[in-house]
Amino acid sequence: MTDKTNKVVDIHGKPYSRIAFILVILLATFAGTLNQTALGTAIPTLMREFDISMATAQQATTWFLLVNGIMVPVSAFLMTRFKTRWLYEIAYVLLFLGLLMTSLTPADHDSWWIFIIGRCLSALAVGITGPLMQLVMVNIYPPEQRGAVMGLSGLVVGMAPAIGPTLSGWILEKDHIILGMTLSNSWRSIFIVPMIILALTVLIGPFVFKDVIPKSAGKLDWISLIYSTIGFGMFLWGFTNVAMDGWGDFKNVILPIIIGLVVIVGFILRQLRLENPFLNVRVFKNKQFTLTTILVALAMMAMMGVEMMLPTYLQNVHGLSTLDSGLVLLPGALMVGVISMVAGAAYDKVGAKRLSRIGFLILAIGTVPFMFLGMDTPTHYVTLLYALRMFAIALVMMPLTASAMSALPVETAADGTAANSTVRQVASAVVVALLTSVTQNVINNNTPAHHLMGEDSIKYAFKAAQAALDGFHVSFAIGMSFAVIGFILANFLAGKHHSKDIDVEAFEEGKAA
Amino acid sequence: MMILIYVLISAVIFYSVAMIKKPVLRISMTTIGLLLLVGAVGLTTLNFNQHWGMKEVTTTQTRAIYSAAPAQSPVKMVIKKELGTKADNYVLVYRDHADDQEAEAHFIPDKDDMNKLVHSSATYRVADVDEATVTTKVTRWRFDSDLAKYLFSFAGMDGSLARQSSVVTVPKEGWTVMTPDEAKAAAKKAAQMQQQMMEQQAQMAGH
Repeated sequence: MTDKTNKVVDIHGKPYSRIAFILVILLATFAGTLNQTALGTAIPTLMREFDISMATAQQATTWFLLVNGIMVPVSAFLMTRFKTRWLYEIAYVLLFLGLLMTSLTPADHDSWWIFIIGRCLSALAVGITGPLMQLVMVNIYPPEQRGAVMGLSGLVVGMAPAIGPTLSGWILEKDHIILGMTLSNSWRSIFIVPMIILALTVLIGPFVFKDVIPKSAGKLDWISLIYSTIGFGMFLWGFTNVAMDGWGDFKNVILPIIIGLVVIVGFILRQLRLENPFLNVRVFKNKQFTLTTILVALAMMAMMGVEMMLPTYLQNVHGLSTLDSGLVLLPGALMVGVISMVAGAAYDKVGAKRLSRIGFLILAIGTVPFMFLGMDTPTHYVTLLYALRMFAIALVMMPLTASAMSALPVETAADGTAANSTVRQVASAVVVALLTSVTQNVINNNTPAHHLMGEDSIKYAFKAAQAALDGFHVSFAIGMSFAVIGFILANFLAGKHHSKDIDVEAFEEGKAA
Repeated sequence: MMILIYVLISAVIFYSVAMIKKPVLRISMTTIGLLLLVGAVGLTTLNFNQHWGMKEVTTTQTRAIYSAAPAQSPVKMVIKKELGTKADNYVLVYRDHADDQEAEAHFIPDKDDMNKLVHSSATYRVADVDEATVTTKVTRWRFDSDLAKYLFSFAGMDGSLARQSSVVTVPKEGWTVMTPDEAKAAAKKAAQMQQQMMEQQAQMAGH
């Protein structure tokens, strides 16, 4: 629909600036995506200010990820049903309101739920704008120009969650003076920068956003939405409660997980019956696609599990400042950006199997030392080993994401993207909840009896620190098991040059198309 | 140096997997790369967890200390505060130099450094000596070979604290170790006695 020589026009035939459109969405997407992980380094601060446990504080991230995942299929419907311009405007206003609500939550134990609701509201908006950006790009750039733009957007979407913890660490470090204004070191400030970007976006949006996606008469299956919300919500809630109630608790742990699972099964069965399913689960009949989706989810889980735990370890055991704990993670974050580009090129040559197998193997090797982190482990080692892990994760993630897409015939690519993102987001939400719950549970069980504090406060501190380390070690061991499972499963991927079954043919066709 | 080794090994593995076409060469290069990586990561882990390549070096230092009580006080004292009821671990207040204005609290636990916090201890004993002293024994990890130093010095493991203990020794005669409450009571009593003595002196002078 667009050509270099012709004028670029929207679906109403009016000319517009593609560059301005893309730049504004990229900036706003960056601000939104930053939110996924920005609270990683703020967990100890939130624990202190709200007087809550680590597991409770991590809900700021887990519910965000979950709502984000649930919204992906809804987004597919909204995109074709509503005008692009207004969908963007509404999503960004929602995102702004969510951030505002979170940042204004009174800092006390009983108001924590307001914080979470604000996070869910933000996640709702990010869940819409993420997939929307991809579709907009496909619609406004011809295939031969798409590569560069998609690469740029991949960099933004991939880097923002990686930079998040470092940026908020910097904000929490001390008061900063920017352009004559003071940005205070309160956790509330974490939300101010994205809020300013979004306010500007909402203001100039009507001028640069255009309706570029052709409308079609889609219908939203509300029942499916309710099923998926309740199913995944209950499932996550059950895992979250393990921290406080332990695995044996029926009412708060076992029951919600079972109800969640039953509803999820109901959801899947309904999708198989519907003619136009809410989330097309039939794409999972393609073995190659299913396998790559599982592997991407495993890599994501392995990444989030360690990324969300390390700042707490660094701050509470090493006494690092929020900024320093963020800086420890920064080289690893940058590594993802660099290696993703290189791995992308390598994927075109050798396919996903070889790269992801080696990636998972390096990931497993690089995770072992984390199970031995101690009180006197130099933080430089943490930086080095974390960077090695991130190198491995980029080696796995980038080729597998590309391969998941090409495993399917072109006509189901949109369904595939939705299914892939949903699984990835929901899996990382559950795994962050699971890891924090297990860690918290181990810490609670191993924390010395309180009377010891009165008898010998140093011995108490020693045992409490040991308990915290035990907790972290368990969660890193679980992260390790994801890498090992990933390596085993990666061996079942179809190799690039050994096409034997039907799936592989589809895979090769998809690539050619 | 270890950073460079990691980068090199990662580059070799990546190059082998992505660029080498001949299967035999590729698989052997990748395997060698992975084995080297296991070695490098293993050594790093042994270094920070088991202190591979390091040895404990202990230094002991004894210094004189001075009373926490005001100079005119006839009794010399160290003020103690036990960290818990059964800890045998104390914060001790005394002067480092005879002419210090104020006595200083020593061995306050450092909450920001967990390693230092849990591996430090301080106590006191009363002995038949002439002078009050503090003896501090510090054990630190040092590299035991040039190779280990070459590989790992970037991380700052050299000189990391293994443990440290301090013992304050006070003479039996003329010194006392007391809690802040006891010190306050003693100071009050001393002031009263001084006043009584002055009154007595005044009375005697009046006669």
